[in-house]
Amino acid sequence: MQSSGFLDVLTSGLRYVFVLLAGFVAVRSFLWLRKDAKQYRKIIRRLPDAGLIGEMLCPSTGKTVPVPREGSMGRFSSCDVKLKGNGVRGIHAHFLFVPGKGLKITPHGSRQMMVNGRNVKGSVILGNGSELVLGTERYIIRFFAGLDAPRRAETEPFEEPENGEMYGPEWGEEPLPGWYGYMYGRGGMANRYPEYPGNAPAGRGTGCDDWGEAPADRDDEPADWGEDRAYDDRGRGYPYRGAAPVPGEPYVPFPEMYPPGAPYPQQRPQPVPRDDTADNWGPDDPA
Amino acid sequence: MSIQQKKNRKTRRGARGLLTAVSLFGFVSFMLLFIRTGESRSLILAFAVPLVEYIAAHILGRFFGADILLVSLVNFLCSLGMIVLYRIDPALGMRQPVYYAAGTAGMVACIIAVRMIRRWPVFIVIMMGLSLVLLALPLAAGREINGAKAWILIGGISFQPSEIVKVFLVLCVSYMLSRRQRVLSIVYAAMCILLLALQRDMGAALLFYFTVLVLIYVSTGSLVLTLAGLAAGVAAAYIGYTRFPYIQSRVAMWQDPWQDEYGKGYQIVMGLIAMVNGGLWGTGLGSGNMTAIPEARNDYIFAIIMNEFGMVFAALVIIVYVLIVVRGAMIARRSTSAMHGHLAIGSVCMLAIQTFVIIGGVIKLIPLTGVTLPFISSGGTSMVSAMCLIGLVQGVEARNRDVLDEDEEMAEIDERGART
Repeated sequence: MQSSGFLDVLTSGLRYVFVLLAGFVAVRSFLWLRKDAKQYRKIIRRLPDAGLIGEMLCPSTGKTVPVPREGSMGRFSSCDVKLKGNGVRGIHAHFLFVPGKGLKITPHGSRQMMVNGRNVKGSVILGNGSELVLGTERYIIRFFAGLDAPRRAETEPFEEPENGEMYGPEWGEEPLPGWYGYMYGRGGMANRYPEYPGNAPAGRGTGCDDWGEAPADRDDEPADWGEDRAYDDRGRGYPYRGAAPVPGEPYVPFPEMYPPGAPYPQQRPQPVPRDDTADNWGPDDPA
Repeated sequence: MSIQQKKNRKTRRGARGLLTAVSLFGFVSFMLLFIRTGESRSLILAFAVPLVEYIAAHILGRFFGADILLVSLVNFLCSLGMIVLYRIDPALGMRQPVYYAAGTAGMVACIIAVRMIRRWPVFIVIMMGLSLVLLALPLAAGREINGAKAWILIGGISFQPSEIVKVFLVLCVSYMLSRRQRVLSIVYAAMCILLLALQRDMGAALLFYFTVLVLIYVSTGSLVLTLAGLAAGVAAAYIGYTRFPYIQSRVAMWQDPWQDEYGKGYQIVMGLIAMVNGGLWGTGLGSGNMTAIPEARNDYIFAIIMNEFGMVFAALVIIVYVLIVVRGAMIARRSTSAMHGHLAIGSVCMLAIQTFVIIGGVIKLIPLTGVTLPFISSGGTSMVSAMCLIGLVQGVEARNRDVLDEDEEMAEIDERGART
């Protein structure tokens, strides 16, 4: 089509253009990757619990294990939730967070499992504060606030579906047997004892309403939760994964109540009767 | 405007430069071919290919949550494949965009599947059964090409079932290993590899073997198990070497192709000459004279790239593959469940091993085995399977991003509450 001399010059010249374009693609992609990794690290620093929906608390040890949206739980290191409790099997159960419903948990094969005191064979949905017994170890499920999980109070009275697939605390009953629900400011008794900081309304990973559920929209909350609320540097409340207990030591959520040397957790603070007329949320917004 | 929308907008803006460079590469190359040959087909491709790739990247990013970086890199390789294939044979070059479209459809299907499917067991059982049937089919009614009975002809269309099974294998083994069903996954993979060995498709068998080995290592972290797998592989390779003369011949040609330069070593020798002729900067697109290398459109396409585009460009192509693998590994690390992590790492491993095996074979680093160069070599099934593997990675990334966006929205609500 064109003269041979012109074509040779053009083809020779374009060799460098191709190399430049390929180099541009490679360098630009590399920079993108680096920037993306940096941004991701930044997000993870800001949201250390990214990808997680809550945690499982083992009351006997005080340890918490982060819970992702889906996966398996058991003793094996390959499990998404690694549990070392007595009687916990290699793979004990599989779970999946179902938005709007809760954490759906299914025993692996014929593994034994109890949810809120009942033996479970098929899939069940766990809510915030539900109690799970795997082997002989008891765990409490705690969702982060703002999660699209049902607010149990809205489903009052709590109705068990006919297929028996759903279990949860009965309406009007203590959602968690024992004292630990109260101790950790969760599990349905939060806000009844306003003098305890753990009863502050929900930050991410903390606080609950009467049924262990965090308010869906924080804008509804009072402006000031009082000085006794423990905050992290981003204004989030304890207990919070970023403020996880020291490894190897029992989790003491409110150290001011348990000075060093005091027996823990046998020492149980005396509950103060609830005064419904009192403003449990702390002083009003001065504005 | 939600966080997701804001981020998408920012990402698309950032991707513009990259996508423009990729499109420009396609446009300039096809225009050069048009100037050289005067064929109107190359003029059509010069406008159509960059435009379609640019639009596809935007649609995939905007509506399917695909990672635009991965799409751009894949588009670059696909453009290169179309250009080189058009250069070798214009008919092949015209067919490749159709395969690209089919591959994109496969990628979309994989993204949707990974993003949406929650109940995998049913699909896994179906895929396991289907993959074994597909691999057994060529043994019963297959066509033998280049010594391997790995192709079947359905309705006048010839395809290689092992390419489809690649995707199934990654999905099934990832699922089973994430559920700690190690024995089952090893048995399934061993059956697939055995069927491939019976077809004499050693390239695919090698890919499957190494991918499963990497997945087992990633899943268990057990060096003992991995070394045991490696030892089993070495033993199988030794038995294969002693039993099958064609493997001995391949190894002999790899050691010294000049002993039979006009016979069995012809392809390797021609490939080496082509690469040396290209030099650092290449002979220029359309100026090379090595398109007569046997299987230049499949196995030896990298030699043609080195011949016409040069060694520097070829090194950049390898860097692009490395970037794809690195991106896949990053996505795997960010995944929120074991299965998705396995899925992402398995998919990129499959592509990485395939690339290493064929480029290593062409440059005489390892004995040559017949596999295609992902995204570049001719072949519809190869293109679709490679795109599907990238689709699996994209699906994992889309899920990661969904979860992260949700977390960010929750944190934003938190911070707003804390501020007030």
